[in-house]
Amino acid sequence: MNSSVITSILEPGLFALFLAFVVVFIYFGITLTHHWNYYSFNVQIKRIMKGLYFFVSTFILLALLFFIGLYIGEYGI
Amino acid sequence: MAFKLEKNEYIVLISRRHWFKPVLETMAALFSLLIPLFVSSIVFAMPELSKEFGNTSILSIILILSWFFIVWNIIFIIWTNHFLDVLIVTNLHVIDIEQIGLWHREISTIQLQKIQDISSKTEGLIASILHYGDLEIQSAGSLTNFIVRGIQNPDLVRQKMNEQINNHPNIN
Repeated sequence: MNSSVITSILEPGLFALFLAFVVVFIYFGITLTHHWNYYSFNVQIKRIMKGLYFFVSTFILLALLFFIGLYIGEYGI
Repeated sequence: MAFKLEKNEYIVLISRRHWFKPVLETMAALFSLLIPLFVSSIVFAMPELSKEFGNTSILSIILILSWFFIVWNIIFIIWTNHFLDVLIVTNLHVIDIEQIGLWHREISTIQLQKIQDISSKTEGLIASILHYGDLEIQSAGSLTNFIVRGIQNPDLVRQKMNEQINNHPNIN
């Protein structure tokens, strides 16, 4: 198979994957914020869980964006 | 709060499901992080794939990061469901809040005066060592029993409920 055919599929595929993850991140972010604000107890756990989720998720997504950009920049059409 | 306490009502006990099950599920999820490493090692073993896909090392990093993100969200669903499952015993009611899905919650309330029988069950070696089990509440006029599974210290919860039932002014 011609490599340009694969990269032409891969390039929008990687972008679509990233966008899907961003949608998941927003969805879970809203969900977690809603749920963790729902109950008035466990304030400490609430803060830790929300902070941990947003920090790690943002880090993974930024790293993902960086490597997708690196791949497309190098092997894009 | 998901509910409002009545006048003269106060919380006696807040109990959660035991941490053993979510910890076990988290460990399984963390173990699954190794899957993309196996997949990428298979891809690396095939040089013809490397030629077709360009730089497979960057692709494998993208694959690993994607899988990390999925597993990370799964772990959060596990712990969100764990922390939002609560059994609350007040001096008037027993309230069971069960988080089934992310946007699926069931809240059941039983009046203490309607409780006929409470039984706790601890089954198995791990449950006996870690003190968790099931709690079954039979209420008057209800065809189905109220079952709370995998709760911490079911004997203590049963004892507290019995104390509240015995102290209830409408029962004695």
